[in-house]
Amino acid sequence: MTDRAPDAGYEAVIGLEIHVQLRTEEKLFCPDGTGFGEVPNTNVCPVCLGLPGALPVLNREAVELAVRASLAFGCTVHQRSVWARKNYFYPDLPKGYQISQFEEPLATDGVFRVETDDTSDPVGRLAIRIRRIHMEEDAGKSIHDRFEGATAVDLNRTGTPLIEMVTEPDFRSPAQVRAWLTGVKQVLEYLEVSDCNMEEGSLRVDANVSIRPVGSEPLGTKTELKNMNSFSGVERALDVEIARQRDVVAMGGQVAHQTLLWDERRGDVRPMRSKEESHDYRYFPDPDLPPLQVSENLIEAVKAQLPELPAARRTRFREDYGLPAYDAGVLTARRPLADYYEETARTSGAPKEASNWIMGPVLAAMNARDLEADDFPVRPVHLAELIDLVEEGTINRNVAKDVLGRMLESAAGVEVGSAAAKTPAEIVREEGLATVSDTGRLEAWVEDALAAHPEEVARFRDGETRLQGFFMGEVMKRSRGKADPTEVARILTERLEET
Amino acid sequence: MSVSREEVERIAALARLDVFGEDEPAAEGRPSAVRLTEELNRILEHIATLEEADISEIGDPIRLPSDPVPFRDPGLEPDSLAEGAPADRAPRWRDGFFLVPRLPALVDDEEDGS
Amino acid sequence: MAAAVREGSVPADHYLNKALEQARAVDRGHEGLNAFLALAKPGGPAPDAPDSGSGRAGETHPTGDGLLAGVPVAVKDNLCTLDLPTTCASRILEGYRSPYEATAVRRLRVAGARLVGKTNMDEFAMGSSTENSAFGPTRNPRDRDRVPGGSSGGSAAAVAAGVVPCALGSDTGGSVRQPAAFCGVVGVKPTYGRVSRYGLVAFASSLDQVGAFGRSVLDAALLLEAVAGYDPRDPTSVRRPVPDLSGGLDEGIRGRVVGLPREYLPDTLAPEVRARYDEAVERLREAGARIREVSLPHTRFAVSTYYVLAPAEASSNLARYDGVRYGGRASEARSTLELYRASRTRGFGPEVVRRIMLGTFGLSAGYHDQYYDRAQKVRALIARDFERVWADGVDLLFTPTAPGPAFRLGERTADPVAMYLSDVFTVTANLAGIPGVSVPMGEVAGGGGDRPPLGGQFLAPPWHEAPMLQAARALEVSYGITGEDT
Ligand SMILES: [Zn+2]
Repeated sequence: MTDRAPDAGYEAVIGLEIHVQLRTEEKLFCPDGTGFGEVPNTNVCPVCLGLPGALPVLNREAVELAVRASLAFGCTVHQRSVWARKNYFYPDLPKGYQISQFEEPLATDGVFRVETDDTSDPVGRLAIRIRRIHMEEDAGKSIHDRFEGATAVDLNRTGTPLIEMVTEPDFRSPAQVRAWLTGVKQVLEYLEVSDCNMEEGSLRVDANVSIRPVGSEPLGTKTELKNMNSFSGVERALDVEIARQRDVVAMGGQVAHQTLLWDERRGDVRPMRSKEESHDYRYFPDPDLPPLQVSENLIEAVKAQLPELPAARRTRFREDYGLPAYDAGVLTARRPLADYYEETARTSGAPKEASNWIMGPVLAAMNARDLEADDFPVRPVHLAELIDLVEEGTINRNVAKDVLGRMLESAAGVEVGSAAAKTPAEIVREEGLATVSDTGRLEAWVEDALAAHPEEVARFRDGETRLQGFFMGEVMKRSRGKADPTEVARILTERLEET
Repeated sequence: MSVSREEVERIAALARLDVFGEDEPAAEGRPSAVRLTEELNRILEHIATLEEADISEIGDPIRLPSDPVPFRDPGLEPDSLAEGAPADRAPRWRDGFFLVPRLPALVDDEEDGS
Repeated sequence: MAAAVREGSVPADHYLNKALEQARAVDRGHEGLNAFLALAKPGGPAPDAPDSGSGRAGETHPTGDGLLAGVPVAVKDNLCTLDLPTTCASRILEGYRSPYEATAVRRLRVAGARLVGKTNMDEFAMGSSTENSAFGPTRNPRDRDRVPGGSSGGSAAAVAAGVVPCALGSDTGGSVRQPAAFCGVVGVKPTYGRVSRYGLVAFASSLDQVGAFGRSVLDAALLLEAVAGYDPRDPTSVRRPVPDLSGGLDEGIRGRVVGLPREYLPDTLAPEVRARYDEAVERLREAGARIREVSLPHTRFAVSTYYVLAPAEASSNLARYDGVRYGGRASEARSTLELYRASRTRGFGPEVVRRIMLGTFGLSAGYHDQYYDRAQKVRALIARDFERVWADGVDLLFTPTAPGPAFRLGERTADPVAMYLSDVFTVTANLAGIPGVSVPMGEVAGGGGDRPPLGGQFLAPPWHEAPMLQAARALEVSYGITGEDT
C-alpha cells in the first residue's frame, strides 16, 4: 500500500461506485446465457437487441444473488423496490435506456468493515457505510480500435445482471480504498455472487474524490474517476488525482466538477468529453416492469444459504485450529482455499501440519500452475493421507515432499479428483519410499559412511562434534533419504563414541 | 408555464432530434424550432389544468397491473430470431459487429461523446 | 365461417382469398381506402397445425381449438409479424421485417385465422385520424372524405368495408374505440394485462393494450377470446383464466346498473350527438337496464394527464430507433451524434417529433415533478373515481365514444390540441386500466347529405369484459344488428 501522506492542512474525501456482474446462468431480462467469448452478437434475442415490441422478463436467480450480497454487506433489503429507466443514447445501449433502479433501490444503509494494519485506526477496522445497492442491466461492448474510423458494437453482454453499490464518502486515503475493496471482493467471491474479474469487467470501480481543509465539514467540489482496471490502478489514480487537486488549490485555483478517465499507460487522468445534457437521465419507473417484491420468505431463504464470510472464518480458524493470525488470513483469502484447508485439517486431524503443508509446498504448486484450490489435482483427502504417513513415521518429511511431486505428476492430464491419480500410499509402496528402521540395514549404511571418511571420523573424535550433521547427510545419501533419522542418529552416536 | 426556443433546442438535443433555428435554412424533414415552440406552448397551456387537481391525498401513484413483477418461468427459452437476423436488419454490419462512426472517449479525441 | 372451414365444407383458403380480392378492389387507386400497408399473398402461409405445439408452456390459453379456422383477419401494423413487414406506418421502420412474432399474432394463427394484411395507422399509434401515417391517410369507407379515426384507422376501415369480419388494433387512448365509432363497427379494448403486449410495438407501455374490431360484438368477442391470456413473455400480462366471451353474449342487460357519468355529457356536446345518446339510453332501459346518473369528477384532467404520461413513455420507448441495429439510417453521417439526429429527424413524422419533444420535456430535469410526477398522481385520482362508482354498485358505464362523428380529412391536422380533444371520452379507460367497448349508436346528419355513424361506449370494472360485451350486444341487437356467423 502506498499511503501518500496528506499535505499539511488538507484531507481527501473519497466515495465509490462499484458495479458487480452477477454470476447468473441467464441474463437479467431475457433467457440468453451470460457466457463470455462467444462470436459477437450471437448471444442475443429480441429482448436484449431492443427490437420493437420486445419486453423484459425478470430473472429470479439475479434477484437472489443481489439480495445475498445486500445482506452480506449489512444492508436493509426492501420488500418493494422499483425498476426505473435511465435514458441516454449510446450505440451499445440498444433500447436507448438502461433498466435500473433509482428512487426505490433494492437495499440501503449497510456498513462493511475490513481489518486493516492502519495503526492510526484504534480498532484496526475500517468501517465504510454503503448508501445503497441496486440492480441493473449491463450495456453491450463498444470496440473502438478494431476498425478504422468506426466503433464496433457487440451486444452479447447486453442485459447481464449487475448490482451497483454506492458508498458514503467515508474513505480518507487511497490506501483505505484499496484495503476495503480487497475485502469487498473477497466477500463477493465467498458469496459466489460474482467472478470479480476487473480485467474482464465483471467488477468495475468508479471513485469520486474531493479535498477539504482538515477539520472542515463541507465537502469540496468532487471529480469522478473512471476507467481503472485493477485495485492498484484505483489507488494510483486516486493518488494522482488528489495530488492534482492539491496543486490546483495551492495555485489558488478551484477544482472543477468533471469526469476524468485514468490512463494506465501514461499514469495520469484526463477529462472525459461531456455535454451538459448528458447527465439528464430522465429517470422514471419502467412501465414494462411492475415493482419488485422481495418477500420475507425469500430474504429468509437467502439468509439461510449465506456462507460463512471471510472475517468469521478467520476467527474460527484461529480458535478451532489454533492457527496464528497470519496463517488464518492466508488460508481464508479465497473460499476454495479455505475449504481445501478445512477438509485437509479435518481429514488428517493435524490442523497445524495441514496449514504448514498448504502454506508451503501446496500453495507454491498452486501458484506455479495458476490454479484455484478447487482445481488443484492433489485433493485434500490425499494431502491428509500424506500428512498421516509422515505423522505415523512411514515416511519422513523430505520424502513426503517428493511424494507430493509424484502425486502432481501422476495427476497431470487426469481429471481433478479422478481415481486414476495415484494416492501417496500407492507411490510410497510402488517406489519403496517407506522409512527404513531396520537396524541391520541402517548399521550397514553407517559403517559405509564412516569407512569412506576416516579423516572426518578422526576430527570428530578430536572434539569436532558438529560433524555429526555431515555424517547424517552421508547416511541419508546412501539410503536415498529413507533412513529413519532418529535411529541413524542413535547408531551414529554409538559408533562414533566407540574407540 | 411556457418554454423558450432555447429550451426547445435543448430538449431536441436531449432527444437526439434536429431542429432548425431562425437563422438557419429550412431543410426537408427538419422541424422548425420556432414552430415547435409555439406548438408545445399551446399544448402546455392546455396541460396546465393539471395544476388545479388536488393531489395532496395521493401517496404512491398507481401501477398497472397491481401485482408485483413476476419472475421468469424457469425453462423459458430465448425467443428465436428469424434466419439472418440481426445481421440482415443492420444498416451497417461487419465481421459480426454493428458499426457506427467512431466514438471518441476522451476530450483530446475529436467529435462528440456521450 | 370458422365452422364451415372446421367441417371442411369450405376450403381453408376460401375466405382469405375472397378477403384479398375485396381488399384489392377497395384499397388502391384514387379514393381508395389505403387501409392496408401490406397484403398477404393469395393462399398465404399455411396456418399452424393445431397440434404443432405452438402453444407455449405457462400460457393460460386454450390454443389450437380452431376458434377462427379459416377466418381472414387484418392486423394493425404495430404488431410484429414474420411474413409481412412491421412499419408502424413510420419511415424509420420502412420495410422492417420483425425477426420474431407478436404473441397475439401467433395466437391468431394457432386459432386457425388467416392473416390478410397489415393495416394503416397513425405513425407509432400517435394520432386520432390515421392522417399521421407516413404512407398516406386511410379513408373512411362510410364517407371517403372523412377520416376513419385513429390510430387503428386501417383496421376499422378494413372491417367497415367488409374486407374482413374482424381485425386487431391497439388502444392507448381510444385508438380502437374511436375509429370503431367513426367507421360504424365494434371495437373493444380489454383490461390492461388481458392480452399480451409482447410484439406490440410500444407507444406508451402503461396504456397500450391490444384490442379487437368486429362487424358485430360477436366477431370482436371471438377475436379477443382467441388472443387473450397470460403470456410468460409479458410481465404486465396477468395470470387469469380467459372467460368465455362469445358464448354468453345474449344474456342481455336485464337488472344491470348502468351509470351515466355527467362529465361525459357536457353542455357543449352537439345536440344531435346528445339526442342519439339519449335514444340509446332509452333502448338500454327498455332492455331492462337500471339507469343511474353518476359522477367521475376528475374526468376533466384526463386529456392533460394522458398528454403528459403517454408522450413521456413514448419518448423513452422510441429511443431505440437510432439507426444502429435496424431501421432507417442517415448513412452519410460522420459522427454518431449526427447519425442519431439525422436518422431520427428524417425517420419520424411531425406528430411523433412533437410527442417525443413533449415527453422529453415532461421528464427532464426541472420539469419532472411538475409534469410527469404530478400527472402520475392525477392518474390515480382518475382511477379512484372509477373504483368509487363500482363500489357504489354500478355495473357498467355508458358514454358517447367521441364528442362527434368522423371529421373531414385535413380538418384538424393543423391544430394538435383540437385533435387531442377527440380522445376526451376514451383516454380515461386507458388511464384506469379498465375495459371499454364502442358499438354503433345511430347516425347524425353529415352536412354533405351523408349520415356518419356515432358510437356509444360501455366501460366496465377490470376483468369484466363478459358483462360489458353482453351489454354492447344488447344495444346492437336493438339496432337490428344480428351478427353474422364468424
Ligand atoms: Zn436476450
